[in-house]
Amino acid sequence: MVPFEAAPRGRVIFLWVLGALFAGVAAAGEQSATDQLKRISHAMRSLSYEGTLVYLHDNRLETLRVIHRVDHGRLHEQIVSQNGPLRTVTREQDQVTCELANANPFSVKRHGVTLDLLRSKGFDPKALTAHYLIHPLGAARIAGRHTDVVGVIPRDELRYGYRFYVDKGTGLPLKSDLIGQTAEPIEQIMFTALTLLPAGTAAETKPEVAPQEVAASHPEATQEGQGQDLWRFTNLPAGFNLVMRDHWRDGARRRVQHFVLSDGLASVSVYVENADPDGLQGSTRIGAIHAAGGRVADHQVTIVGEVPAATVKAVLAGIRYRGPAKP
Amino acid sequence: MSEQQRQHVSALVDGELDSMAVHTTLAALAASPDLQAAWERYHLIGNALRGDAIHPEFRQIADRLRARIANEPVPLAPAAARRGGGPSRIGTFLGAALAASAAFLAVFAVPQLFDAGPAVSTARTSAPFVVLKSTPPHLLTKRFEVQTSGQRWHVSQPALENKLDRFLVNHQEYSPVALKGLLPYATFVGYETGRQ
Repeated sequence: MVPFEAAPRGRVIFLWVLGALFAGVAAAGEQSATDQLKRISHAMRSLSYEGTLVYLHDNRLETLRVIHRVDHGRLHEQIVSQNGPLRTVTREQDQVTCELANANPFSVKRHGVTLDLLRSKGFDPKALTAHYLIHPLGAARIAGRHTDVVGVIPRDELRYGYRFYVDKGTGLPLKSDLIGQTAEPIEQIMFTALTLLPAGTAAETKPEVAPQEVAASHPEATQEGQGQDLWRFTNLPAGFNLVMRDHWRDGARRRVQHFVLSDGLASVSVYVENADPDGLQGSTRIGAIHAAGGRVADHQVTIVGEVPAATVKAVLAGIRYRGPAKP
Repeated sequence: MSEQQRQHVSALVDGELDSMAVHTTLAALAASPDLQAAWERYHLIGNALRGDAIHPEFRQIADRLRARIANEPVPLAPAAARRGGGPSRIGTFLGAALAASAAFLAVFAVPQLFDAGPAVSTARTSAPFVVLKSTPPHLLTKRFEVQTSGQRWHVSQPALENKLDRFLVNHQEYSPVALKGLLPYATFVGYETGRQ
């Protein structure tokens, strides 16, 4: 027979152990899911591979060919559309060259110092937990390979969610679903074939077409430039902070100020130029990427980011100019 | 509507009606708006209890039945001609009842017997069939044309489109993490809009 006081104490201990066990299991699951995200980040920066992707958006199916190679820390990547007009993006270490239908090829120089500063912060999944729930979602087989499925689930409607199918062997995301507010995928991209490459075979990643207009962006400085403190961002969507500011000149030598706001996963860019008749007034989108633009203190301000429309509009609405009025 | 008729209709809905009573019940059902309303109610109740989708074919049964009978070819005419005289009232009544029963079976009972699965949705089952025979060929082919590329940003100014493309590429280069993998570039390279 159990002593009078021992039973409650025993129950308390039992419940405590049970609770600790459940908490441990939950933490292990979350830990495992965050580890999977770290594996993706590491695999994308370190592995070389080529393959075929299918990309589904708006009930349309596209096929892409990708070659991604990392050679002694230097990235070479080329993505080529296999359907419709030829479209390519070629990324070299310090330059991105784009060839699109009905447009001249153009290149964008990457601002080495600033970019290194941004990426040196690394990826910290724990920093995301305020605005995302990172959770394991089981396993699946993709492109003949076994994957762990991880959900990055937003806690509000100001950012998208993601479902990554992480290759058990390499950590590469073999399938990625971009999830909108209705919990239905807005876009899906999936490898149908993947070949891992040995390091040192980067010959194919040269652009097939020489860009007619190179260096559309000229980095002018990588430190805070003159006049960049004249802009403030108020009432930002929860979790978004200013992580980068820079300024450069475009192909027509017009000065462009560039600000990046991020919650650690989602990000938006804010571009400020002098008033431009070709500037965006209102909002538009390409796939799940939204843009909003308008005049603020006689400047053209354009917001671009892979976030819902409400988020780019909120950023635009919160921009304040603190400088002198233009003559 | 007698209590017995109501019970027969209920048994018919449940598939438990004695085969000897089917014809009589169908004839009564075809003639009685009250029984038709009961038929509709019993099906809705059954669907609700089973958590099934609502089958719209059980709604407005009377109107649909009348329409079906009105369009029915007249099966009595040959029989009347064979008798060589004017149509008898009993024969007319029986014929009408049989026609109504046949129409009822054609509209409701037979499709239900051969229904292999649950209704997908109310919208789908209630959508009218589109008759394409009279559609001009150029409109038919238009439905199947291969879509060509449209405006990527849904804007009509090429200069603005180019500017937004450049802003997007710049933005993606400054994305703080590589976590999203190829998704951003897939959007850029793979995105082709259809003709608007």
